[in-house]
Amino acid sequence: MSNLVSVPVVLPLVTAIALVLMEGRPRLQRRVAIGTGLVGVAAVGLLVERAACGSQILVLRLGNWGPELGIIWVVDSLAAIMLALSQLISLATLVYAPGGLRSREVPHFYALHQFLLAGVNGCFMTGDYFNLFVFFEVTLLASFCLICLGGRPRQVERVFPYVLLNLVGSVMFLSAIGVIYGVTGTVNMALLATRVSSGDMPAVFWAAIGLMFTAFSIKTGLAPLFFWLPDSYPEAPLPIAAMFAGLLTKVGVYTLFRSVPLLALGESEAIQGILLVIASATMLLGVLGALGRQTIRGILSFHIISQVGYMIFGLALYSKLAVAAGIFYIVHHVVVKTALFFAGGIAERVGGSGRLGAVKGLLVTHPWVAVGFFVPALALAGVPPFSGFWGKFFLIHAGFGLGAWWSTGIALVVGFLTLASMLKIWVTTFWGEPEGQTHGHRGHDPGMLGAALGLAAVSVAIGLAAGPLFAVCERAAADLLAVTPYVDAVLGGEF
Amino acid sequence: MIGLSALAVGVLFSSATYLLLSRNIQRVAIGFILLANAANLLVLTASGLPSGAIAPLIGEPTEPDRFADPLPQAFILTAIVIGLGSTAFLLALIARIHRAKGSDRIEVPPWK
Repeated sequence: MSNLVSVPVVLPLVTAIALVLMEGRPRLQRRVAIGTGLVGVAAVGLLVERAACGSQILVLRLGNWGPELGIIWVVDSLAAIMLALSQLISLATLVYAPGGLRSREVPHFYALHQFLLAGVNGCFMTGDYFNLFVFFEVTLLASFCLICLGGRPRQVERVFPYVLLNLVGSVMFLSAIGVIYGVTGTVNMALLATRVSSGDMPAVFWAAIGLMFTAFSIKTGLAPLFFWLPDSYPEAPLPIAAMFAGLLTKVGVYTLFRSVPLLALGESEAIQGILLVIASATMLLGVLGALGRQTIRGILSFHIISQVGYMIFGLALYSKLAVAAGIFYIVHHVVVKTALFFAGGIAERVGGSGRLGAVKGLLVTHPWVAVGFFVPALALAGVPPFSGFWGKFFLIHAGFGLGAWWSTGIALVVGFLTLASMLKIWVTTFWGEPEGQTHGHRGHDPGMLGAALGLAAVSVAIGLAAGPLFAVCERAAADLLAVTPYVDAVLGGEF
Repeated sequence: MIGLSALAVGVLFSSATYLLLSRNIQRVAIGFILLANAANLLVLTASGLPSGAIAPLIGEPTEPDRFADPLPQAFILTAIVIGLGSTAFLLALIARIHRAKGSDRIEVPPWK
């Protein structure tokens, strides 16, 4: 029954093509997309049940080609968790979309949204680097079209660095793949893992790996390569910005979590040190940048960078507890960041502008929007009992346990600064006398409110069920670090 | 042969980098096209370029050892198609920016 593995990619692709044919009928498109999204949730639910809860590794060999040449899709526990997140966020985006999109942004949105979902899911499942490159490109091209929807002059100008830097990153990735294939004769991740563990690789191989990780860092938005992100994300249409904020940078994070253990990079102290420095710098620069911004989504976008730093911090510490904490942090952050963009987006729609202070006193006029912002904002800052508290708690516990004093200290300070910039939005937008509610009715849109409050509720649920969820993350981390079960499942004992 | 090819890759990458650093977005687009092709050539070069290799599956397979490795060529074929799509999008975006701004120079937008 490993054909089930193909559903998260094939279903959105087929849906996307069907939606292209329904262009011009957005309400029908939305219904079809939500319908197939629910089917996708059911399929991913089965995958989660087997892979994340049952610790199986599901492998699909496309066309039954062997692993050294063929394309292989693998769902292990980490991939299953990521697939579940992408299905959740894409459904929430569809619920949010009709209220969040301006009328000229509606054409092509639904079809492109499905292409993006197919690309993201493919990145999570693929078992070889060239296929990963292809799915990166599927994701990127869909994201380019989505982020430019509407085509405002300011928007296309600010999106340009995003497009260019990501394209350059892809070319770097492709070059690295070429060299890796030239040296080893394979691009399959599991086979590469066996080659790396069995013998000395030449220097040119490690150079190519370095190039590949640079490309991943660009896509993840790690310091110092994050400059494309905070200027471009706030220009995207609202539901798209929320989906990018939740999912897109996590694709890069996932590839790092997947590749570092497989290529046995985590054990080296030098690489741990480099990753720790990068993670600390990313956390700190992201939060400082956020403090300097004057728009709601500008602040939130810079926070994506800061939060990605926390996840890489977990990976850099490279113990079972720390990596599990990193995975838990991904789960928490995907939900919370999307919820914040949803609620912040409603405030922006009500005020007609994303500038801080354009609209005031939303707590009085739109209390549910305020709730939808308040809960994830506290969760992001790490206030108990919300999900972010547990994410940070596990990470900092692991950090102090391993004696990484400096970077753990930075992680703590960044938590306070996060709270400060969340308060900046809260005080200017939600407190005070009501003022600037130029489009007050937009704040009562049931789809937008439902999506924002729904994700806020998920965040609370993650906080309350932190124990069992962390147990799942710990199993995922154990599988990830052990490497052997993954390699055995993919290669099937042939090599 | 492989030395010449490596040299071409180097020249292509360096010219592409020079063009990408320009403020003129048309030059940037040309830079990206060069970059994409440099990467394709690099993939081919890195796979070894054995001298006297023959195409597989054409005619009688007399000397299978001399077959050129088809997989890097398949990689490049895929990458060319993807590069075409990316380039088309980049050019469309540039046309759009040109129409919006009336100029080909891209400025760093002020932070706010």
